[in-house]
Amino acid sequence: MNTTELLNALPVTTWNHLRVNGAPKEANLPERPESGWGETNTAYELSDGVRCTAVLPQECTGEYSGLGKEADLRIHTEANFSRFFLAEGVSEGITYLREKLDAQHPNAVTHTAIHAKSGSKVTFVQIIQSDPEVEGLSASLTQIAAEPGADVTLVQLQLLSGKSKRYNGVSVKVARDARVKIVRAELGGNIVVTGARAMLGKTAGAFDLSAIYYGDGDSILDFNDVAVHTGRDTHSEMHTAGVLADRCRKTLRGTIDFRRGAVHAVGHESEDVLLFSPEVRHRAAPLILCTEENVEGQHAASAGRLDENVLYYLASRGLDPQQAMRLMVDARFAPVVDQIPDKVLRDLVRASLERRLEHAQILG
Amino acid sequence: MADEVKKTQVEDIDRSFYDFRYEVNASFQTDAGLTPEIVKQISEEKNDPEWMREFRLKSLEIYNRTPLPNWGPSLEGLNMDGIVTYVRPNTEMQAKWADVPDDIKNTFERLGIPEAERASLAGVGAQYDSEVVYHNVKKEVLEQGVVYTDLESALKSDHAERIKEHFMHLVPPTDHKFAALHGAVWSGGSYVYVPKGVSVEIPLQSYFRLNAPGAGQFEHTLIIVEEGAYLHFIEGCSAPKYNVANLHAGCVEIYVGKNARVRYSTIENWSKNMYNLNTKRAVCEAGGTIEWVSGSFGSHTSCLYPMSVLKGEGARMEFTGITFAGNGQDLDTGAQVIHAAPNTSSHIVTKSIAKDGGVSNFRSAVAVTKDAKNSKSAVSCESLMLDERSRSDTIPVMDIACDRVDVGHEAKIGRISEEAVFYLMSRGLTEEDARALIVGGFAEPIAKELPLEYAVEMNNLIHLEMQGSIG
Amino acid sequence: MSQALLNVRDLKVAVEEKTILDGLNLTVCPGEIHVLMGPNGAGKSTLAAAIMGDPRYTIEGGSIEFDGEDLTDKAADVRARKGIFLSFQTPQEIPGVSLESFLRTAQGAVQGKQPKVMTFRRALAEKMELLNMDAAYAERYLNVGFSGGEKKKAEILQLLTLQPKLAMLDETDSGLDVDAVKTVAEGIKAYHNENNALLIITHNAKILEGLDVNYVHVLDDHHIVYTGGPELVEQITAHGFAGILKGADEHGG
Repeated sequence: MNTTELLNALPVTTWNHLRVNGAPKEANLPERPESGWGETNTAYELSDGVRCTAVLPQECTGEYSGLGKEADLRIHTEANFSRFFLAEGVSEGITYLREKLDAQHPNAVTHTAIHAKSGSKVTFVQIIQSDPEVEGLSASLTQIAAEPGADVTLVQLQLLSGKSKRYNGVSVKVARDARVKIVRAELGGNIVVTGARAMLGKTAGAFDLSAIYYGDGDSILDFNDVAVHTGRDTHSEMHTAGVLADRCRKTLRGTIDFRRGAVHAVGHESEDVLLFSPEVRHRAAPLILCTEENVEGQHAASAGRLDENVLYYLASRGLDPQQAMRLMVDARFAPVVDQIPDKVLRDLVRASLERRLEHAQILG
Repeated sequence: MADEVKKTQVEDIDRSFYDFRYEVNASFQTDAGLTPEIVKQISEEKNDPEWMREFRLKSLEIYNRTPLPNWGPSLEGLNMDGIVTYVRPNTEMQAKWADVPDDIKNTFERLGIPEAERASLAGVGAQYDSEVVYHNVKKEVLEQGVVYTDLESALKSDHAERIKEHFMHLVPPTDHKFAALHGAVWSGGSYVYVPKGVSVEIPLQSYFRLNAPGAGQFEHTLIIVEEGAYLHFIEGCSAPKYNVANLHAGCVEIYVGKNARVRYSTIENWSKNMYNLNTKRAVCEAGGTIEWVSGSFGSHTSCLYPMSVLKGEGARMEFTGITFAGNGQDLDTGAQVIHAAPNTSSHIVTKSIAKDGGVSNFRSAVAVTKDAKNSKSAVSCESLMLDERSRSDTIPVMDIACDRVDVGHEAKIGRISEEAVFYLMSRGLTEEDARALIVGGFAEPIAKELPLEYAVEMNNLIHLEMQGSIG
Repeated sequence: MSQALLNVRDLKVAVEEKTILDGLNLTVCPGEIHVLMGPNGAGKSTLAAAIMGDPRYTIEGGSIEFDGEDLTDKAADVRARKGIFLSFQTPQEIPGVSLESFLRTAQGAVQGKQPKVMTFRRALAEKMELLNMDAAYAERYLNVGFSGGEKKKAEILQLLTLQPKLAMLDETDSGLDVDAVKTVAEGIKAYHNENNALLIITHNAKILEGLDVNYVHVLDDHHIVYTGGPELVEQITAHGFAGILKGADEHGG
């Protein structure tokens, strides 16, 4: 099956030479081997109020993820692991979805659907890991439907080896007074293509995305996050902090799309990037599309090195450059890391960052 | 008539394949297309030097093999098959004052522009008036060794070699389809040369020189400002220019020398049938500064994104722009900058206003190359939606290949606050005036960058646009 | 008694379908100073906004007559041109429009003809001096980046410039230091004469110093429950509303 559509396509295109209209060709979703994707090493633990269903809930379908329709369809049809969940009532617990790429199970093509019933409250944590030397593939499609008043939190922690590829499509449908929150950490992989797309079609629906990324080596990071507002009083917050080191090439597209009818909608988006090497490539395309008068939209982006004054100040307090850098990266990532609802996982993420930073060079 | 319709249909089908494999079809030309013969004829009439003739023919080849852009506003209303009609002004295209649409005539009246001048603004007649004005300007600046003339004459002067070295080097015909078209059929425009260290105190204005019939379509402006010199060049005017043909594919190239400074101001108010596909570009040597002040009010469709190439260390660019799109308009405007040397800086501030179903988009590209250490860039764009039928998209891109940079971007979109309208009304202003005042205030950061008379006229334009915008 | 300037009859006002005022009556004559007091949330600001014609407030019943004309259904600008002025608690910030050019535009709108630039400037400078305002504020954008005190002074400056027949001051003294309150009071005094009237909403007796207050109204329970003379200000300042309201009940409202 061949995809013709660009992965992570920018909702409104611009100059081709800037190469932001879609993910680069070399980051295309790999073809399925003739022998298929094989078995997966996956597991899940359900919290109270959450149960598995055999069939894909209709409510979760109909909207596509940031990756695009064709990629969604491929993951859906080629998935070697599918799991559909139904959430009812308020649950304080966490549903864990774990997947690990190893020599026997290098490929996980997973399709997850979360159908949160009216008034439910639920937290899902996806943990994607791999053995260090595995050259694997993790391609996942997560479809979320939050019914009126539902409150869904999805935490995605991706800690793959530097040799694996990662595709992460999330589609979100938010009903009246519902809220979907995504906490996303993309910390590994040599090709990472991620796109979350939320449809805020009903009154007072809310979408939150708090994301961090860390790119180093020769990796390619490609993001395409979209919030589409068509309902009144809808609210989106999409905020990303990132670190780029070595020769990493990263593109982040962030789009707030206010459509007719989105009266009093509010959308905020930001990206804050730390550049650690003169060889990184940082591309950003933060779009605001608007066909409704009565909205408030705002976007902010900044990129640069660590402030030398801050480094100097920290040095004057006895921190060496490495420590200072670690401190500053921690500070930047803390607002997102702190939202991970499990101390063990927070420590896992911190440890992973620490390892990465040890390899990072500070160029004077 | 029936034949023509049929022909168009056939060509339409053809063209949908063209975009994918144009190279194969490049040698096939329909009668309606632009042929080497036509271009040769233009060249002959202009008495071009040999290199220019070749340049035009080469551009034509590029034009014929380059597809239309696959992004940006729709160009469907542009009859690309009948491109020759844009290129060859014939007797039918000689506009008469009587043919000028009423809304434009009304605008002239409201702006209080006298009848004689109206005719000249409309792009017909009164050419001798323009020449007088032009010569006056010329006399003042001539004394400083400045050259300000039309490009055709300059090509036959002792500046010929300099022109050859600069003409479409900054905007090569390969840049995009309309740059290629421009290269093939350019006609009219200005040549400005400011010698080393000379500061031209009064702004040079090109607007009077665009009035010759048909000259405003593909005019080429070439500005060379040598080391340490200063120039303020003003293009266009706030009164709408009416043109029978509805394609404008001009080109502006500005060479800013070491430590020189150029300010280029435009208030564009083409009639609302115009496809304004203008290409503007500046290159700055070390310590040079380019400042763009740009107002877009007219045109049916605009694609206008002046580019600044900061080539020398410490070069700077500033871009201040406003775009106001009303009913039936699709104005896609913005700015591009390439930081290609250390310590360069760019600052882009824009305001977009959309009303009555108009589309006012902001598009930008900020690129920082590997070598541009310690460069700074700040982009700020703000959009104002005046009703829910309009559209305003903000499409900025940053492409950074250097870590020692400080790049910031902020965008905001919103509406006129009803509380502010009430506040002003409580002080006695009518709702219409209150809204116009708020929009005027929104545009003020741009207005204050303009020479006073232009600022006043821009304000008038905003008030004109705002009239009848309630209810 | 001269003819009434403002006549509010049986006024019923709602915000988002919630009734704030009901059965409210108030008459103000030229030369008079009225003070409006009452517990928080009683609807004092609502009354001022309704008289000014704030579109967020729906007048569901009654009438507002001003200078012999029924203005109940008129837009705010019409009322302003008739001579009504409201000093806002939180004045709007209008970027890009300088205080001076705004005032000149507003004066032109209210008086029906654009004032001459030089004359206007001179008069403006005098008024700003009276209010201890830095002359530089004339060039600054309307209320943008003004401190709370400067905003209030700018409101009084507008009052002095527009010379309305009725000035309503909605807690113009709140958030001001002692000196600023004094300055604002000076401004009010400079404005007031036998031909115009004031309706002052305040919690603070300081702003009334040196003004000959004629009536003090207490607003509660959707309407004016008690009206007295200037002595009431002191009473309320010392003992709060409870005593007055209790008294009002005994009097049967």
